[in-house]
Amino acid sequence: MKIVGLRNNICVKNGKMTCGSKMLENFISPYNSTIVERLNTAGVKTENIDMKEFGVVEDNFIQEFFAGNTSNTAIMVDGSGEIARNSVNGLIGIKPTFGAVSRYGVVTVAPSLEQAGVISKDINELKEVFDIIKGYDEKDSASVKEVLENKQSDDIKIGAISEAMNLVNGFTAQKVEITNLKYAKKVACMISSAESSSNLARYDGIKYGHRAENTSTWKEVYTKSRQEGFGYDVKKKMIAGTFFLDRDNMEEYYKRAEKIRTLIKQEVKELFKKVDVIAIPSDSEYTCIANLTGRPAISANGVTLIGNFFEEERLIKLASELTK
Amino acid sequence: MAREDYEIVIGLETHIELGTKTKIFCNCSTEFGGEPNAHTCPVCLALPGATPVLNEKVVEYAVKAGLATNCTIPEYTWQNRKNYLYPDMSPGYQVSQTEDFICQNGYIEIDTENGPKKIRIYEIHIETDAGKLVHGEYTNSSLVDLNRAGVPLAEIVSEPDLRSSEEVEKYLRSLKAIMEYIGVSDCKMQEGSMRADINLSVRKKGDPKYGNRTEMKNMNSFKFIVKAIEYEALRQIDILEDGGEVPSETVRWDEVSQKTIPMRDKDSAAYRPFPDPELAPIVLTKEYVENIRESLPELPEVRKKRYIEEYGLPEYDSKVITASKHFADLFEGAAKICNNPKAVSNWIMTEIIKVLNDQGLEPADIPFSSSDLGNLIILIDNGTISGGIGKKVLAEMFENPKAPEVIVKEKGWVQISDEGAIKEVVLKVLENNPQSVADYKAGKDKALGFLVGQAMKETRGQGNPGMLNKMFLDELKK
Ligand SMILES: [Zn+2]
Repeated sequence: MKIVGLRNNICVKNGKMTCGSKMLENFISPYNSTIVERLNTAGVKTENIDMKEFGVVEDNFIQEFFAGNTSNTAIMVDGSGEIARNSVNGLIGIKPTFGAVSRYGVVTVAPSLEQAGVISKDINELKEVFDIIKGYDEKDSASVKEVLENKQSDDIKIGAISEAMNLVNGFTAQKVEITNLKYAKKVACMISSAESSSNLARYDGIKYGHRAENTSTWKEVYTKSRQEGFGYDVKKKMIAGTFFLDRDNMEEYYKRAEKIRTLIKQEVKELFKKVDVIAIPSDSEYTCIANLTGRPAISANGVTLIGNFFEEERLIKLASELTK
Repeated sequence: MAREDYEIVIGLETHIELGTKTKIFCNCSTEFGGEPNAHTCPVCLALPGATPVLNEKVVEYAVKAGLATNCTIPEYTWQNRKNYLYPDMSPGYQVSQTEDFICQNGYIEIDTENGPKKIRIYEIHIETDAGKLVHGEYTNSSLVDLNRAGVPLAEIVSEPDLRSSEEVEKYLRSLKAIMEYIGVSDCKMQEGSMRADINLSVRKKGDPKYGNRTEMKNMNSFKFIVKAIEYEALRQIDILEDGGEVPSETVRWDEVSQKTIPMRDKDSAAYRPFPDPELAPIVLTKEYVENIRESLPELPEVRKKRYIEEYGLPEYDSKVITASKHFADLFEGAAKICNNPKAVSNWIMTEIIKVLNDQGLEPADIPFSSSDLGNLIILIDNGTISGGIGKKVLAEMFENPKAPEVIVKEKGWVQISDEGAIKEVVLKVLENNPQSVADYKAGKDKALGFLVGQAMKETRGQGNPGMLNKMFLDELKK
């Protein structure tokens, strides 16, 4: 493996990084993300993969990239199951544990949900690339120095939500239920909108990025630059997020969403006392469970397996059996 | 009703710059000054994708400040983003705390006419400083300097327990001394590393209800603070006396017009505060907090008492000396060397404070060490130089810091204690001043002082005053 695809929201020093937005149309990153630093050290080159504005709208550029056959593997950011949804046509994808791959130099819209992961045609190469980019980084506060290894027995207990029972044929699986599952997508959407309203505030036309012409005050620089620089979907998301965080709505929306997120985390944690992985359909709206809980997830053959924190290796092993 | 019928109620929000070497979320230097934007990196410039990592020293310093002011430290806290847009705030939000603060419910004591008074501290929290805008260098634009962006601050919020400008000044000086002692901030008002927002209201004495309050922002000089409080209190009393209502608003002190002027300010709930999703929560184990508590140095109050007991200093001296850590360290170091604590405290309280005041310097600016001061006093005590020459040596130590014995040697200021030489001078002075000799013999003791003074002049201050005195007496008796 000599080349991997790299989404255009991961910083490459002196590389153009637009995040698919007019806001950053001429932005050249002056620094490397930790991911790129590690790829460089390992002698792996990168090839740019385009994206739609800040990943707020999903696209088919990943599929186009693999159709182009320049590389077997790509690195992309996952905030709500994008890697799972792209793991089709024989592709295998992993969304690692939150913080398992450094977030330094990875542009985020909703930092508490997003995590860079790997998607590949070949499971060995997937592991190879993951091993290169993973690990402690002092520049990421979610990064952990030492991972406590759980005792891993060879016989893995699979749990599956009812919609995924038929996807794990050939394996013994027990049916599990997450009662708050029905709220997962809405909760993830509210949280990511709220975070986006703050996280995209730095794009103001002052320091870098798109700057409107003919402005006479700093407020005009902000409003015009942001008006021109951001597209409809990003604006919609930020406005919704501002609404969710407004003092009159905070309790009803943002805080309530965070409470349900906590309930989901607790419920999933309880389930993991009985099972080692939880299977869900890759094309369902439930994939954001991995983002809400910060757990790793591997996707192949239409099924996504959510695992225990930092147990990516175990998930990769399991996926190779699943894809046999 | 008169001014005396009202009570002034003041609470302070004091911002201090924490003296860590690096910024709160990156490794950039916090050094004052520097070329614009020299101390910046992807994180404090808020470049796309640059993630913050909390500087552990900032947490340690905040906990130290909290423990030194008798606060409770929670086991778990976090940082919120306060969202607002301004060109000097690079990420579009300030990272701060708005609830469950890192230090809670403390107090410090100040001296008042009626004895010590507790001023309660509601909370202390950590937050980021902003950069600054430089206006006017080009006609139509402002420039942004982000050297200060991400410099760590602590905000110390008092309860409304202060009742006068004197109490406010004492409270601030006491806070400054404590922070200096524990080494978390140099609290230099001129450089902006300490500034206060003053919340002030007035009410009729005995009224249990607080009046509407105004907030005076960013006060950074004791002189202005005192003036502004006096002015603002009278202004509010006048409004009430005229039957009006004091508007709750933010004002700023205008030094030119000597008035407070209303300014626009946002309500802090409008900042949409929520936990920073890029930062991990802060966990403060009991063990961690106790380790910091044990490592805390002696605080001003304790040191004051110790100096009284250990060195026999009068209470007043001890208070003046321990009000500044620099004075206290200077005192203790010098006293250990020369074994004459009272002399050291006299030198600090008279000569040294005089030089500092004359030159507009702070105790931190004293250029010589405590052992230099101790050695200077030894030179006087062992008769090598006179006290008068000592003052000249001290002035030299400020000007051109060298060891006092070197200065005395280079300048040839060694005291004349040779009996023959002293006698020669005494005889010469007696011969030149027959009138004074006659006065003395007629019973005017003051004439002796004049003669000694003449002899000192003759020796350019280097004559041993004790020996001169004795020699004159001996000669005059003849
Ligand atoms: Zn920096």
